[in-house]
Amino acid sequence: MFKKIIYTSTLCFATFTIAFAQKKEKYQFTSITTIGMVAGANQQIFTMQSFNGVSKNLWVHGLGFAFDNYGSNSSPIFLGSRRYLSKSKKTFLYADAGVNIPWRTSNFPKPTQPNGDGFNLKIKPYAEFGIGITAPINHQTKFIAQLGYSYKGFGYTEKNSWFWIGPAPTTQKEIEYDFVYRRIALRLGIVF
Amino acid sequence: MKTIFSKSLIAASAIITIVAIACVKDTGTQTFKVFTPITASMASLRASIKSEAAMPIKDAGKMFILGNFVFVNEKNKGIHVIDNTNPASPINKSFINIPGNFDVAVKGSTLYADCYNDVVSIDISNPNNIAITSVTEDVFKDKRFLFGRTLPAGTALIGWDSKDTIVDIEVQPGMGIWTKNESGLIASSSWFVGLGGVLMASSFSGAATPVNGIAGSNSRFAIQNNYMYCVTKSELHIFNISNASNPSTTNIKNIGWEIETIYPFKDKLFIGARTGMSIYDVSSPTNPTYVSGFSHARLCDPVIADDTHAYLTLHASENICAGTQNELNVLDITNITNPTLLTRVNLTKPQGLSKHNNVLMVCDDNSGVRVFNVSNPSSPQLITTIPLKAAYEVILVNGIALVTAKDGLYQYNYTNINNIQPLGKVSFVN
Repeated sequence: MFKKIIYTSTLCFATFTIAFAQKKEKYQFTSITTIGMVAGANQQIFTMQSFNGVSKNLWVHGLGFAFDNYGSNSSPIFLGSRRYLSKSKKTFLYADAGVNIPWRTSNFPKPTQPNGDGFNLKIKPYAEFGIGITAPINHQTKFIAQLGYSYKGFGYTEKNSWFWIGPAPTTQKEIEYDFVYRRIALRLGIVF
Repeated sequence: MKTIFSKSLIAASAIITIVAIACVKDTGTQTFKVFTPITASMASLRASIKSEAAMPIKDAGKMFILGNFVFVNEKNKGIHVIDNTNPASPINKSFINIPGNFDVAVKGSTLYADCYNDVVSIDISNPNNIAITSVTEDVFKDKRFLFGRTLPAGTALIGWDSKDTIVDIEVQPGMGIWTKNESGLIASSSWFVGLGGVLMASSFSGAATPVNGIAGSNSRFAIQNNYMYCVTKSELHIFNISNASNPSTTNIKNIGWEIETIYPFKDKLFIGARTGMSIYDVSSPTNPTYVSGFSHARLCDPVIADDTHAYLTLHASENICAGTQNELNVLDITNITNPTLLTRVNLTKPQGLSKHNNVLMVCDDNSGVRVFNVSNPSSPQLITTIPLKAAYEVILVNGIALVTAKDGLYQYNYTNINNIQPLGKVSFVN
């Protein structure tokens, strides 16, 4: 899954870049900054996102990062594209894919066993797609609202010398935990 | 065109919203290994006991010396027979295949060995045609107790099959959802069980007495005149071996828990457990009686003794013995009913030890073999260290020290403690 997302996003990004290059039209820097909320089965939390890239015709391609504390504190980093549905650039579809970089904080994880030997946090996939609208604020700045489906992976390896599962020798020292959060993401912000 | 886009937008919004709402879900998995015991019948295992041509020693365990022969255990597989007539050039003569073997003792031409749960007596008078003369079943019945389950009698655990297993776990606060308000431990899954004092039987040692042969300090077997004493994790089994080829169980005593070693000296047995040393009187050979004990932190601890002193090595071991100490303890046992600690000597990870006159050698893992002068036991003087890797067991006999280490069975002439000379070596294949 993780590899597929990386391959797909890289391929899309490369394809779009080549397509633009062939038309030899002028690129424009575009920055989208949003705040919002992701809502899942267990939490509704505040989130921030910054997406920066280049736009040409109806397309915007770029690199983004976010603060996303749903389930666990982390920062997704992703490649993304936005496709406006008309030349008025009032509505668009978007798709982002990348990786979720976990933070090591005091909040999580808690050891299963006292005096555990620690954790190795994993980098897992991140993806989001959805629709959005824009409305002009002034000549250079627009308001943006987007609604999407957000996928965030999180995982860690818990290490402990004393694990014992079922009728087993005491040689098991690691247990893997993997989580997937599928949420709705609502983001509001500005484009310039 | 505009109408088409508006309809498309509405349609896309509807689809995304429906899909998103339908798919909002948090899921989690836990991946670990599930171990399943692999068992075999004792009858089928005993059928494979036979003499084979000499083979390289790979994973040496305990050691037993009788006359010019050295018996070296290949952990879990059997016993190498080494002709040590010329210590400068020992010859690996043959291998006795005994599955599940860790301990050995020999009286005359009868070899006693553990074979998983049982103790077998083997006539080795003709090394090329050995024969089982007796089987005492289920001596090490504790080997059938596996983490809360019990194997049927006549069955042995010969291995574990492990499979990576993935199970779904419920995502909830504390497991997949962590916030600043979350505190305490993750809610434990029912798969987890504490260690609870039950460990897989990992080693069984063997021992013997100076009368019938000499065993290392890690032994679980001890021969004293016409009796063989065998310690399991919690019991002392007494065998009458006056008829060597057909030992009979005369008594079984419960002597505590986490027993590891036994060392006979005159009419006493010194028993090493993870929490201390116990002394038993065997002046009545079939009815050993507790005399006294010495407690220490939970550690692995072979013990040896002479008329006036007992020497214990304590070492920490991850998962097995716990603890943090690594030291040599010298006890005054002049008053046998009240052993008292004389001194401690800090070491790296001491294991097997042996003493002859004033020479005490201690295997100290990768630090080598520590050679002490113990003419004053309350103040052992380190004379030298023989550099060996993973030194495990040592036996001193007739001025020759036999040491098992990572890469071989080494022999040294220690008659001059200040000038210890290497003799022969049997190389191991690592």
